Amino acid sequence: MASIFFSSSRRKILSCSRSPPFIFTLRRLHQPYNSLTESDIQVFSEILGHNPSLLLPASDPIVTAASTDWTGHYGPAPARLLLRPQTTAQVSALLRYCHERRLPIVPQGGKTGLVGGSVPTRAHQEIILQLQQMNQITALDPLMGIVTCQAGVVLQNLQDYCADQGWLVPLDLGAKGTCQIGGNLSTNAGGPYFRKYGSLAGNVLGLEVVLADGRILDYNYRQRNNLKDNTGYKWHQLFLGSEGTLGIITGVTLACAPLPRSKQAAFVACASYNQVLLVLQKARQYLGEILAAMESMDAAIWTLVEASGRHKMPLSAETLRSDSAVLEGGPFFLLIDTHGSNADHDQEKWQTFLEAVQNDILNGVLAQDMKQYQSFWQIRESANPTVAQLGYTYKYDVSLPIAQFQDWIQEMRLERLGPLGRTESSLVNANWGHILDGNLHFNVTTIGEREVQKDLVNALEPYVFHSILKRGGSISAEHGLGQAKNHLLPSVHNEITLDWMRSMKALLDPKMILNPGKFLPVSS
Amino acid sequence: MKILVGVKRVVDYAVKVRVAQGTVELANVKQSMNPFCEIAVEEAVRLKESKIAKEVVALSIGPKQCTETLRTALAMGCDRGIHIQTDLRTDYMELQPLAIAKMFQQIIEQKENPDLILLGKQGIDSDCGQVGPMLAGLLQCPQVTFAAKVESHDSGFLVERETDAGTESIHIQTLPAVITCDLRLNEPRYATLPNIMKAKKKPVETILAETMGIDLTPRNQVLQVIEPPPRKDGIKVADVDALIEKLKNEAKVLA
Repeated sequence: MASIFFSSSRRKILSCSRSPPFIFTLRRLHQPYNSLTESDIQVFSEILGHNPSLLLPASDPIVTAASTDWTGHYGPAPARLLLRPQTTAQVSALLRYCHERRLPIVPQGGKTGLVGGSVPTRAHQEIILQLQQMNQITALDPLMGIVTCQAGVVLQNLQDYCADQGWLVPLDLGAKGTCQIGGNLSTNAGGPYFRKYGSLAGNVLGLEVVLADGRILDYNYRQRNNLKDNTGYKWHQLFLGSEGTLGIITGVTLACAPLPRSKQAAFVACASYNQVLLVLQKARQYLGEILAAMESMDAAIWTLVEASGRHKMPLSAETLRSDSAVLEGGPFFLLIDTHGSNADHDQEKWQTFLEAVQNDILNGVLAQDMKQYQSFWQIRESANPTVAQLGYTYKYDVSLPIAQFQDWIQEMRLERLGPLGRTESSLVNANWGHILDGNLHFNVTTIGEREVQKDLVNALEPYVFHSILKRGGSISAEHGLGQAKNHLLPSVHNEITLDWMRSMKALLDPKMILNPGKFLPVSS
Repeated sequence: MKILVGVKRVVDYAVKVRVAQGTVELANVKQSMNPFCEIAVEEAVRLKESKIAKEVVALSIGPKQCTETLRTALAMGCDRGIHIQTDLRTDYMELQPLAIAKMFQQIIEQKENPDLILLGKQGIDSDCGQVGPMLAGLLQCPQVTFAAKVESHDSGFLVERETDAGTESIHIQTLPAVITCDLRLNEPRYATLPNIMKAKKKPVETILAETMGIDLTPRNQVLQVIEPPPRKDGIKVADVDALIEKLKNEAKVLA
C-alpha cells in the first residue's frame, strides 16, 4: 500500500481543530496506512515477549478464521497479522507503536457480533488485536457485588464466577459461552434482561481504556470501585457502544445484581398478536417486580426450531395452528421469565398471573425444575443459530413501539417479500425478539442458499430502515453498526449530531487507526 | 389396575450442591422432583392413557413443600396425592431407605393396595437405589430394577432391564410388583397450564409421619460430608514428545 507523506505545512493545518468538517474531509482523501514491515513485526514480537503464540502471521489458518465474522457475511478479508497481548501495558505499547507507524487495527473479542464490526475490512487489512489472553477476573467484592475484570473474560465465565458468590452479572446473551465482556461493553450489548437489570452501560462503575496513541485512561478501575461517584465527566460512557473506534477497553468494574434465588419460566402460545399484548400487560401487572424477561418467537421460527430436532418442544406450532382462533402470523410464542428472592412468593404471583391470562392464551407450559427452565432458554437462544444454519440470513435488529411489531412485519411481508414470488420452502421470514424491551429481530433466510442475493437485498433495503424510522423506531436496537449499518447513520442523525461524533473520533483517534471503516459512515 | 408412584423432592438436578456446617446445604436451595421419579410418573400416566391402569396415586415423603412436588405429579396426570409429612431430612442424613420403604409398605398394605408400584431407580441426593428392592422384600413381591421398557403382558408385565452388559427381559407374572425406572424408559412430559390448573383441584391427603407407628431412626450414621477435592488445573505441553513423557511418567497411562 502506498504511503502518502504530508508536507509539514499540511501537518500544521491538520493539527488545528478549528473546523472539523474540513479537516475530516481532508483526512479522508489522504487515508494513509503504512504497510507492515519486518521491523514492525520485530517490535511487536519484542513487546509480546517473543512468545510465538501471541503473534500469528497472516498465513496462519487461525488468522483466516479470525478474519471471518460469525454470520459469514464478512470475510475472510486478509488481516496483516494477529496480536494477542496479555496485559494492558502490552496493549498500550502496541497501540503507541501502531499510532506512530500509522498501522490500522481491529480489536477483537469473541467475534460473535452480527454486524461485521470485529473483523478486518478488505480496504484496510487491519491488524487483528485479540483480547482473549486478558481473561483474569481480578476482584469481586462479596458485600457490594462489585466485580473487576479484564476485557477478555468470557461472559459465561464471569457469570459463573459471580453466581458462585451470590451475584448476578446484569447481562446475558445467547453468545455467552464465546463472547467477551470487553466486546459486550464496546457494543453496549443488550440481551433479554435489559428491562429488569438496566443497560450494561448503566452498570459500569469503572473502565480502563487504551487510546489510539497508547495512553491508558483509567476511570475508577484500578481503585475507587464505588457504586456512586460524581467526580468528573462520565467520559468512560463514551467508549461503551463505540465498537472499538475510540479506544480499546482493557478492563471494567461492573455492578452486579443479587443472584435471584427463585427463577421460574413458562412458554405460552397466543392465537393473535393482540393477545400477546394482553399477556404482556398482565405480566407487568401481576408479575410486577419479578418479571425479568419476556421473549417472543413467532410461528415461523418456532416451526424451524422444532424441525431442527435438537430440542424437546413444550408446545407444537402445528397442533396449535389448527385452532380456529389463530390469526394471520400466529400462533405466537412467549417465554416469560421471572427472578425473585423467594420461590413461594413467586409461585403465588405466577398463580394469580396464570389465572388472569387463561383466556388470553391457547396453551402454555410452566417449567417444573431448573433443567426445564434452562431448556426453555436454550430453545429461545437457538433461534439465531437455527436460521444461520439453514441459509444466508438477512438480519434486521430493530426497535419499534411494541404495539406495532406485527403490523410492521405484515407490511414488510406484503410489500417487500410477497412481490418476490418465492415459495415458503425457499424463503422464510422468521421473527423473534425481546418484546419487553421493544426490540424485534426480523430475519429473512434463503433456505439452502448460502450466497447473498442482490435482488433480495434490494427488495429489503433501504425500505426496512425507512419504514422503521418512519415509525419512530431504531434501525439497530442492540446489534450496533459495525460495517453493516454505518452507512445508514446520515438517515438517522442530523448533521450536527454526526459532526459531533466525527469530532470525537478525530479527537481520540486522529490517525484513524482504530477499526477503520466501522461505526461512522465511510463516505462523507 | 391401580398404580402407586413414589415421588421424591430433592435438590434440583441443575443446582450445584454445597456443604455447609458439615452437611449438604438445603437452605434457600432450589428443590424439585427427582428426575427418576419424573420418569416413573410419566410411565404411570402412559399406562393410564393406554387404559392398562385406571388410577394413579402419587406418594411423597418430606416437608410441607412436598405438596408442590405432588402438584407436579398431578399436573403430569396422576389422579391423587398422598403426602407423608415429616421434617426429617430425606437425603439420607436423617430418614434412610429402610424407614422410607416401611412407610411405603404401610400405605400399600393398609391403605391403597396398588397392583403396581413404580419408583425412580434412585434419588439423586442419596444415590442409594435401595427403596425399590427393600420395599419388594418387605412386600414379598416381584421386583425389577432399572427398567428401560415396560410392556403389559398377560396379566403381568414384560420389563427390559438395564445391566452393565446390555438389557435383559424379565416377565413379571404376578402382581403386585415393584418396578424402578431408569433413564431410557421414557422422556417425561411438560406440565401444561390447563393441567396445572386441573391439578389444583385434585385431592392431596396429608399423613403425619410420627402417627404411623414406624421406627424412623436411621440405621447408618453419617460420619462426614465433604465436597470432592477441587480438580487440578490442566497444563499445556510444548510438543508431542513432552506429552508422551508426561503420559508415561506422570499420568502413568502409557507403558
